[in-house]
Amino acid sequence: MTSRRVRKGGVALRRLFAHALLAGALAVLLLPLAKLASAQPPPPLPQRAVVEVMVLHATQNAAGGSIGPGIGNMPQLQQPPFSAFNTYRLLAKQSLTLQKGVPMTYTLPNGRVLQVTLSNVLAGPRYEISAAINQPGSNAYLNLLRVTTPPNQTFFVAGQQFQGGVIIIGFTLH
Amino acid sequence: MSDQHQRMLDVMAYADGELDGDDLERVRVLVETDAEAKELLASLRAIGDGVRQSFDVGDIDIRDVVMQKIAPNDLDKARLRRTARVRVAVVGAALVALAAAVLFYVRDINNGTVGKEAPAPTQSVLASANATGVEVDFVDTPSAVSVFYMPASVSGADEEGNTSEIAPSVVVWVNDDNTKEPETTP
Repeated sequence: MTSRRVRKGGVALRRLFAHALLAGALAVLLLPLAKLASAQPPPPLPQRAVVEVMVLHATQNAAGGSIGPGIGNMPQLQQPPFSAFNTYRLLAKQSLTLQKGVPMTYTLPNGRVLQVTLSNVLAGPRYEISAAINQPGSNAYLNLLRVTTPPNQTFFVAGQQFQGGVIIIGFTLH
Repeated sequence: MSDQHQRMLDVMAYADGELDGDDLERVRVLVETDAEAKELLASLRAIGDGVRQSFDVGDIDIRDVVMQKIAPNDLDKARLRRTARVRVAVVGAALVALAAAVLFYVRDINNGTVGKEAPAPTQSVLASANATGVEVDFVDTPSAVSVFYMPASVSGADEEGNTSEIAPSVVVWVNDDNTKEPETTP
């Protein structure tokens, strides 16, 4: 019968619609589970870093300034307080691999000892660094400096007298 | 199919008790108001009564007997197969939709965006996007100390007219004994 066929077709459509509703409800119920699964804590950050230490010698030369080879593009030298000097020379450059909590030492050209420690690696990442500069048997210069820095940004410690100028130490974390 | 033929089929279904709902109400009105339909219904009922009396079938439902003779199992199987196919199709579509929803959600979580991956930023962009930059947390020194914060800026154009972005930086200036702090004016 045609009417029976039509009625069966309607029933089939209603069943299809009911199944679709059921599937949608199932998806809505399972989505929070997917959120929960993907909200698991991220893997721990590697507690190590590489710090590039660049030691510069800054002087004021009345005959004209220059930036020595090996320093590279460092436009910060054109800004205060570095702009008080016009001549920069690269004294040393060293990369130190830091492990969290393990101090690394590096002897500066003026005989003082730089000690750098990776204190922590935060999300981002951001590195918590401790630094000290001292000379055994002599007065302290820098007991402790703690900074938090993102990678690839250079911060400086400057002011030590050396050969008529000052030493500028640049630290860049990678 | 003509209207007259359709009406005849409807009346036959009505006589057999196959209709319900709107169809039942519509055909019931039809047989009450339409003389031909009413006559057809009476004829069908008379034939049915005659057959039942002749063969003394009593309360046996002729429709069921006929349907069983035809091949009821085949009809049922066909209906079940069709239903199963529909269910499989719906469940499959639902699973595909679910997988797509989970996929997009996980991509959203991992990338922060949906459907479009941001290009990898260069170092200079990263530096300028970082509002905090280097932070000096603590300084301990017996000497005088000054901290200079150098904000991000753009350097002057070089010989080729190119400019470069200067990342923010910090200078910790520690006076060495009696060394004077440098002049900060350019």
